[in-house]
Amino acid sequence: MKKNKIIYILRLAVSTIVLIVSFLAFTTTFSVFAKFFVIQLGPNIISLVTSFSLSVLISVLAIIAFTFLFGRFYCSLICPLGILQNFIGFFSFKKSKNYKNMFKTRYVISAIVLGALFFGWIAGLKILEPYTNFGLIASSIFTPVYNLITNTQNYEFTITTLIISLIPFTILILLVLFKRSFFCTAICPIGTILGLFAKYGICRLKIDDKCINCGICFNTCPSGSIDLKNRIIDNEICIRCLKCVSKCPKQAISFGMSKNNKTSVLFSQSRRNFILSSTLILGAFATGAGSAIIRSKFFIKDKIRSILPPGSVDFRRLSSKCTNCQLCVSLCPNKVIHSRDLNHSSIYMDYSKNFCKYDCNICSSVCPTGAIKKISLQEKQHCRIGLAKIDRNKCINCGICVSQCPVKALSIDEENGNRILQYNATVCIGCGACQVTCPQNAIEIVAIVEQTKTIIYN
Amino acid sequence: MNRRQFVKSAIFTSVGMLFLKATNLIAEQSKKIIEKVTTRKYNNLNVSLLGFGCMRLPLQENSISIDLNKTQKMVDYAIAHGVNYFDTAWFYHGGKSEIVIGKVLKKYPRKSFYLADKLPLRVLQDKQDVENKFNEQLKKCQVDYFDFYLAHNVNKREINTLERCDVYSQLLKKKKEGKIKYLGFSFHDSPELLEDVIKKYKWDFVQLQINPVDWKAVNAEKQYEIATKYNLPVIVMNPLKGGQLSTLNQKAVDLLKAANSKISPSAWSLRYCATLPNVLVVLSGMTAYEHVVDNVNTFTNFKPLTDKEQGILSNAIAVYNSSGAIACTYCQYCIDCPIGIDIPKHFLLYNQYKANGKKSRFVTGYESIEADKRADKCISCGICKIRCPQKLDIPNLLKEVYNLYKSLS
Repeated sequence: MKKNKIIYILRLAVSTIVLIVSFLAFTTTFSVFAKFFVIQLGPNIISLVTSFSLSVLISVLAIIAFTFLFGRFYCSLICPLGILQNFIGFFSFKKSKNYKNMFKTRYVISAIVLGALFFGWIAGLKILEPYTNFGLIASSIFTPVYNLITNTQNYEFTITTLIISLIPFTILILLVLFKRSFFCTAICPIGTILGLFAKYGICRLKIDDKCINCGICFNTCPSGSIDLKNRIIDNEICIRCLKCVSKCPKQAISFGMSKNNKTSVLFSQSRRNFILSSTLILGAFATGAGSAIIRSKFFIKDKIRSILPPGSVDFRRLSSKCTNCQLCVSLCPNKVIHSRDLNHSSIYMDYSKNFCKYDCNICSSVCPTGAIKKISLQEKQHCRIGLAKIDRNKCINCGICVSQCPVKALSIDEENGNRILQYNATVCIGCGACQVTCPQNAIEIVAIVEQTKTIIYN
Repeated sequence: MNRRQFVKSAIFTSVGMLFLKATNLIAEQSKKIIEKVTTRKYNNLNVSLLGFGCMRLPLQENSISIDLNKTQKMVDYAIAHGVNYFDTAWFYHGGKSEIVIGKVLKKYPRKSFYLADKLPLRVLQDKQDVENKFNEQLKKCQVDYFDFYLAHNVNKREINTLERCDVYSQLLKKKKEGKIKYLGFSFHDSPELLEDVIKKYKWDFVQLQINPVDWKAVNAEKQYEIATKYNLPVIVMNPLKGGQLSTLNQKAVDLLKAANSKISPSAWSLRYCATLPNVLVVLSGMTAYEHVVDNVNTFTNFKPLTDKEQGILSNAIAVYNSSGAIACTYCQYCIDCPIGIDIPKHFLLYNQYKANGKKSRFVTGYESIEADKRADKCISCGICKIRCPQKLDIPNLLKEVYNLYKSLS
């Protein structure tokens, strides 16, 4: 086999493994697979902007440095949505049209999205960020399928979540079938950021003199980055799928260092064009920033105050960081975390069927955006997320809840032969164990304003 | 110009200048004779009998942040009239009180005022935290030392914190270093516990809640006697019971006005506290400029209450007590209710209703509270009960407020 084909197959193999791991992270309950999402650029940027941490910074810098050195391999090797598109793309037989760099569209989109993000609104990323979209699709479309096959029950299937995830999925399929990698090259804000670094990158794909202008590469390229006339591959939008490398009959496309910086031309055309474009981009950034500020002043409201996963602190903080990627929803062993729906504008906890496990902090340890703060197991066990409301008219003082309470907030006092349930709210963390076990439905866990530490008195 | 003209104008000029000088002198003279508030001696200090409390500083309109300009004016007036004791704490105004008072006092020489701050026992995590919190407080107040430093709200629960975090010996070390001049504690619990705390550690002073209502009602009398027995000067907090005693109700005010129409109801209660010989300072948390002026007047040439006046006051208090007001001082310690219920607001509305009987005002006041923060959302978890220095049974009182609302609306 030719060397070029092997490289392509190797690329495909790595992509497949990554895709499978990503799927397993959402469909199974093993949180090990979720560790892979530590290096997702979208969530990394969100957590970097909203709460700084060194490890995240290193991850972001590493991805960017790699992209600068070798180009957008991230899009074809690490981004689960990119790989998914790649596979869907096998069913597309549409040929590439003429070279068209959609730079204005993508710069304006990412300027709006980043503008909003820097001023505390992540709605743009919620809709466009590739990892989040993959999470939505994987957890609410593929998990039910997986559950059917393996006869397990890992995901609370609801029509709302199905609709929420079916919309991006259909749009994505249509885009891939008719426009190939349009999403990666013209919409994806993460891709745009990487593209900016790749544009001035060091190692590129080059077309050398063996080229016979057959046009095969041009037709296979999903991102439309090949300029046949000038024999240039636009490094900014090349997503390194390596199809051209494997398809070239003359093996004229090679990968290596390049001094040739001739790529798409945005800022070098003319002064007039430069001023126009930069005003456009600045305007888009300001639009995003402005809308975020307006929203934070006037529109931020929780429809129903709800219990949030331990580490979220409060609703305002959670909703400004959570992209609704469903990772915690999928991995919660007791399935108490639920996806946002019409009544809840963020993820929320529901104790109607189960309670929050005492010795578990998976949701906080997997959250890639830091919306659920990383807290140790000990911190989690002293993190109050709700309080019990005991309906004394229903309570029969049976004491079943007492044995279930992990923090000993409940006890039975026996006075003159009367058994009375005592509740010590200072240690209660609102895990819901009592609510679930209560045979009389006398206990309800109530959401609190802000998660606090329960103080331990020796 | 001839000579005659010259002499004329010279005389005019000099007379004019003399006149200016004279008015200037008179103005200066009149400044000098500002009457100062009465002071009491403590070791070698001359402490003003009126202390400036920083828990109820004026707020900006429709906001919870402190109005710096108004505070500055009030403090300037107070200092000009000889008030030199300022009392703040970690918890006041959500931690902002210390910062504001630090800013406001910045322009005065450090030795011209006495600053009291308190260690927030409730939030101490471990030993190291005492040091951390203390240093942070110094920084917030922009000073190098505190004249008076208190362990905040020692009670049945926090007495364990004193031991757990090794508070006393660490504070004593600070005292030796000169960062604390006098060491004391504030206290709202039972007389028995007070005696225990005084016996257990050596303190320089104690801060107690004393006012004409609480004198009998919550054992303030016994507490005062114990402090006197152990020779500890008393700093009085809550002399007006969070402003309740400055408004009272109409009947009680009428009684007081009949006896002396010149002085305000607050003056009666403040004088009541300052009449006790072992009281060093009477703290008043003043919220408006008028409060400062009124209180300064009360304490300038301070006259203790006569026996006759004591009788009149106790009659008025008896009338007020029968109105059924809740003994809340609006100290805001319960404000971190996990459910978010605005407890002090409820009690204020209730007490105002009990004082003036205006139904519509109570109902509109209640409805102006956000639906999420109203009394009916209370789940009786009782966390507020632990916080409340007045030992109020808050969940049940909230039910009472809610029932009143239901019956009126």
